[in-house]
Amino acid sequence: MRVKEFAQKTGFKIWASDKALEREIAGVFVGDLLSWVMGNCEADQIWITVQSHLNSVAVSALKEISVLVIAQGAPIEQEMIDKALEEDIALCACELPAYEICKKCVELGL
Amino acid sequence: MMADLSMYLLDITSNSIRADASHIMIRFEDSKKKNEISLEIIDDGRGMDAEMVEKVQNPFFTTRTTRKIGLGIPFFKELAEQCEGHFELESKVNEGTRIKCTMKKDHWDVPPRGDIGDALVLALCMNEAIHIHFDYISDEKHFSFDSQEIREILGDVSICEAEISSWCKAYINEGIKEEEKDEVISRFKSSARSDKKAS
Repeated sequence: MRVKEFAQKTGFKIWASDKALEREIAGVFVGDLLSWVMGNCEADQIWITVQSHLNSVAVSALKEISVLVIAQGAPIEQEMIDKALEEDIALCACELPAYEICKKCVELGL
Repeated sequence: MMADLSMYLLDITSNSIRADASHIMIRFEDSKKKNEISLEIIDDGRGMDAEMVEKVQNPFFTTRTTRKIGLGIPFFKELAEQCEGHFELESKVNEGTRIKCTMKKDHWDVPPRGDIGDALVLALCMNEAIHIHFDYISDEKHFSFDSQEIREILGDVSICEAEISSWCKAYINEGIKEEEKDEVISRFKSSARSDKKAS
């Protein structure tokens, strides 16, 4: 599934460059401990976290995450949005808790 | 965020070693009275100019050429922010660098200590010529570990020999141990009580 389609089907608020929207999604990773995510996530996965920080965008860039989903309405600063656009990572905001987002991902066959 | 404090300690100390420090002072304070935990690393390495000090706090920058992003310092800074503490970074070219992260001790997001002894010994074995002085200060005790003193006793024997290094780890971990097994539980009870009062 492409990022564009993921955004349409979930209806999550999204900030993404054209390039980011065309990226293919390869699975889902959930976690809030950044060093843990660095060691365990895989390229092109969606990453769901409540850790809303510029460091999360940096981890996403380093690990080539396709979509960074900030769960449960954690506030997102403009700096994060700007950097995600620049790094071609799709950034999503969503009020649902991580588990509910996971269920949506399962429904979408991810 | 990293899993425990020892990982931050190792990461920041490795920066000092990469910056060709010959002396590294590490100060770990854990005070109930001040409600504060802090980790401070001072080295006499290459140091940085003001522009560089700015840059290394940005997660999209690194001194390593192999990868685009260096995260040790940004993570350390985030730790301070998230635990209602503060972060300090000072440096002078050719003089050295001082970095300090302070956390509010009773903040729920303060990570566990982890294996501090192991982190220190790992750092010592990255470059045996480096002198590391470690101080632990709490309300009850002051514990010091000095690699130079150990070396004087050892003579030609390497600190990285399995038996010596495991002794050092155990010695450090014993030195910084506090008798506060029930602390988390009592904290939980007192916060539950105040929640009750509030409602």
